[in-house]
Amino acid sequence: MSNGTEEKELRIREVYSLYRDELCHYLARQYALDPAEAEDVVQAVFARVAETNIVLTLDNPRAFLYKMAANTCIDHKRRDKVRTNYQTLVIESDEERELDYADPAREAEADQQLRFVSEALKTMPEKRRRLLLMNRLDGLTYAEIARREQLSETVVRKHIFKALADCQKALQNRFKSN
Amino acid sequence: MVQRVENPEVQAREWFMRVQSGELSDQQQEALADWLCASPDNVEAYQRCEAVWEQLGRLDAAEAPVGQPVQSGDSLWQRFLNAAGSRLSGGFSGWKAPGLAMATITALVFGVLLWSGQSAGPEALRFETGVGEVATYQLDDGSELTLSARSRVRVTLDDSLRRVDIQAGRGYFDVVSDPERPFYVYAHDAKVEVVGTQFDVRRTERRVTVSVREGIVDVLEANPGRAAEEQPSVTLKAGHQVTKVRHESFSEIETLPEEDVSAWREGRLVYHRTSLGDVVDELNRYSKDRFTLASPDLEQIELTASFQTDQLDALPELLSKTLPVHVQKESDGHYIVFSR
Repeated sequence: MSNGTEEKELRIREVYSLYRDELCHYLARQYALDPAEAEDVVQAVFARVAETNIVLTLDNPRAFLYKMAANTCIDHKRRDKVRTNYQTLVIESDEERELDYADPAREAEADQQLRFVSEALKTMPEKRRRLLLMNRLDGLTYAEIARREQLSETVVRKHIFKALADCQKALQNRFKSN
Repeated sequence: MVQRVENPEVQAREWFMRVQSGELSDQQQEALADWLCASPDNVEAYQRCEAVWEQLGRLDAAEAPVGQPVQSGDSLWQRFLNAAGSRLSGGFSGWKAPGLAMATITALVFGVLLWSGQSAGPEALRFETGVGEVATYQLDDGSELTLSARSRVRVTLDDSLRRVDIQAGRGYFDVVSDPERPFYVYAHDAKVEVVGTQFDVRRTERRVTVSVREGIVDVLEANPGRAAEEQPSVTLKAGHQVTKVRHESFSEIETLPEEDVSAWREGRLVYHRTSLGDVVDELNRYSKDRFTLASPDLEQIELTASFQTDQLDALPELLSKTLPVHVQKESDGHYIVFSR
């Protein structure tokens, strides 16, 4: 979605520059790659990493990145090619990205998604919705919500889990009907 | 060994919630990496969780205009463009014109800076009161905020905007005028805009009620899907009150004596044609002995009454006498209100 894409990319670049060198060294040492191969795999790792926002959500993504690097490396070895076809966020040119952001179809799609999520919120049980929004919009942790609502943390998690499921279902049904 | 075949959607949601809560150990991070690499389906399922999460976040962003009206369907990106100057106001079609390419790139960089600044931006203050507690806070801009019992707000003050989000309960605002920095109060899907005045905003489970003691305030619907100028709105003067049920339209404007607007600050709860549901909601903020309505239709009973907050003991009897209800005390001290 165009919202936040630019920020995401900026932050992925940050993480990339922070960990690239050590990941390259690690792969070169661990899997006996030459420096250029290691570099290619690390590029591929970040292409993988950029598919989700996980690395941006984790406080200290080091363990995650190392494991992603190891897995990616093994995959590549298995396929016996280190050269990658991954279209990486990191190496796209500025012009390509600019057009991507400016795409009105993506804007429209994001707006449509927002409407379905709002709809799902309206129809789910009040408590489910409230707990989800406390988590998402007020930024409260499960433990904080549990304390405020005098519920157990497990119960809070279950409610939020269901709330997310409802929202997801709303989006997916929509995609199917398109 | 029996392989348990789990639905990637369910697993993705579980992982997602753990990642969001920031509680993953190194070992769990590794397990997550393995899970993601195991199948593209897993990645896609995880992406769908993120899509939902992002849309939920936009709900907030759309309700939180940064000092300027938000166009319908505005992305942050477009808001930056608006901020970057009218030369780009030609819309999407103009963006691909070669002459504008440079300006667009500048705006992109500008936008990213702006946004990172904003997310790191002014820290929100949180105020919360306990059962029966009323507290007055002085904000940095000189405005005063009095919170009713069991209320919770988030306050954000920056150079261009003063914003209070009522998350629960009720607040009375005495706002110092500052034309440069509008003062907004949000509760549910209602937004109150003021320059300088005194007013009360009360949030219950589904409703928001705004009453004005002095000056003029605008109350708008805060619907993320619509442009600011298209939002339904009402203008309230001193002694006016309006109610909005979440996702419904505004009630008729009612009038009440101006001094009643802030009576609760002096320990008097005053209700003008207020539903019993809302009254009970508020009483439960003041009293440890909670009231429960035995059936939902009781919520709709309207009453006009005033109570002293230090004499709430007399309440069960008062309700039974004035309304078609009887109030029963449970062994644990709670009260149940039945229809008669």
